[in-house]
Amino acid sequence: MNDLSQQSSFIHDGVEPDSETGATQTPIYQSAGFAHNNAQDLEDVFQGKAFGYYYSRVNNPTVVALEKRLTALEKGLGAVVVSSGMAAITTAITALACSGDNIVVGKSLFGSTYYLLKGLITDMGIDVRFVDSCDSKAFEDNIDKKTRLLYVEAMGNPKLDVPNLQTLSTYANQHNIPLVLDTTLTTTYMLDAKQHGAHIVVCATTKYICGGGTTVGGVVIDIGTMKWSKSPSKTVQEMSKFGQLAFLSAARKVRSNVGNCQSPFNAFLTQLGIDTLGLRMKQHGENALALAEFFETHSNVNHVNYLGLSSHSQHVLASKQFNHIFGGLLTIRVGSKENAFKLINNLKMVKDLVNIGDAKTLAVYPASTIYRNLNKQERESAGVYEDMIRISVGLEDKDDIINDFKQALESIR
Amino acid sequence: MKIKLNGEEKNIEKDTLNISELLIKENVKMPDMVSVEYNGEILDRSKFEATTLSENDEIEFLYFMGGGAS
Repeated sequence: MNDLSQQSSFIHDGVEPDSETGATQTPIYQSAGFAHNNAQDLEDVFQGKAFGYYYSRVNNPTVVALEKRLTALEKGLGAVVVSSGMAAITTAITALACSGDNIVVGKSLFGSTYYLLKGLITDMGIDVRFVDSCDSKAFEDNIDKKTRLLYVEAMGNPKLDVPNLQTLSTYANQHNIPLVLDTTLTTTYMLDAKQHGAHIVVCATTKYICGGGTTVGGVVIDIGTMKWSKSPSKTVQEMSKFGQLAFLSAARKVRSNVGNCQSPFNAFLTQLGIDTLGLRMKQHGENALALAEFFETHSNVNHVNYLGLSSHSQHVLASKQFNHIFGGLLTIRVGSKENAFKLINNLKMVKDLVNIGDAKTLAVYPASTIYRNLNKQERESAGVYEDMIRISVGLEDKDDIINDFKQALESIR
Repeated sequence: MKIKLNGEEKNIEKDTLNISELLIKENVKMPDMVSVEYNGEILDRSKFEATTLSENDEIEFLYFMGGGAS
């Protein structure tokens, strides 16, 4: 059989019926520990001579089933599923860098990621070098012998800017360090991370992967394109006996020691979303484009930021990297905080809610919520303004979404 | 052919067997998660098919399971 289409592969790749029961969904193995037949058996598992389960902080069959599907999505080497998107970022960074090292990060970042990097990661003694996500040369200029990774969001949240992945990948390869790519906003549906040179993908599965807004989760995926034997990372070198699985082993060690594992129940719910990922991403994109085009013509909207608009300065690069699909997130500016609040307060169907990738359309005022602890300069650097609303466009009928914003915009006349 | 697998001597009845076939023959669980040490060296995964076993080869299967000290 020929290779499956993308949507078909989302349903089938990495999924095998259970060998004993034929079940096509891995059950929820809601068990903290796993019994073994004899002491030797358990010793072999502990010593890594045999595969097995013994404690769900370390691994769990339902979580492993999700890892297989997420690995298949990226045609990768392996995945480590963790408790949240933030846990995924923390796991990837601490599996690669330690005190005295540095990392180079595109500063167009989700607010919580910025707090993590500026706070906890910096406090750990890792020098975080923030650069403009779209200034590839700035990444290169900041790399030295102590640099352990380059980090960017594939599409900045909420700035919606687009780094040049191929150029960053070239710089990363020259220094034997990975390009770590946050694909939360794009998913594999929009972006073939391997083709564009990423080495490690981190993703909040909470958003588009899960899709229903039910379940917090995250994943670190090794795309399989790094030669880990050449890695300068001390934490990876410590795992060199695992060969190409050295990084994944380092990431599993972080998960095991920190305890940021995902619950089996959450893993089950998350993998249900993968079946419909392609259908949902297509509809998110179509609805978002229709809403963005509506905003572009409305006199009460001063500015609309959506990569799918041909007027967007990065539309061409986004078209190339995202296969002509532009996702479900957009922002608008409406002149003042007062206007932004009025608009949000007058929405009837759309929810004022801090999440993205939900089936429901969501609107939030980021400046005093998600980005409240950043100063004005830091906020604007991240693409957040005093009169801005971030909208995660859902899967409702697009006319209903447009009509809700249309009536709410009347309130700021 | 005699080989040493995870420290124990083992008789292999087939004359030719590569590492991928050995993983299947030994019913190794989660082959995607196993590293293979072949005569003291970690074997690149791309060489599993091309690496054919010889008399007295020493093979170790290694999993990183995490937990505790490693």
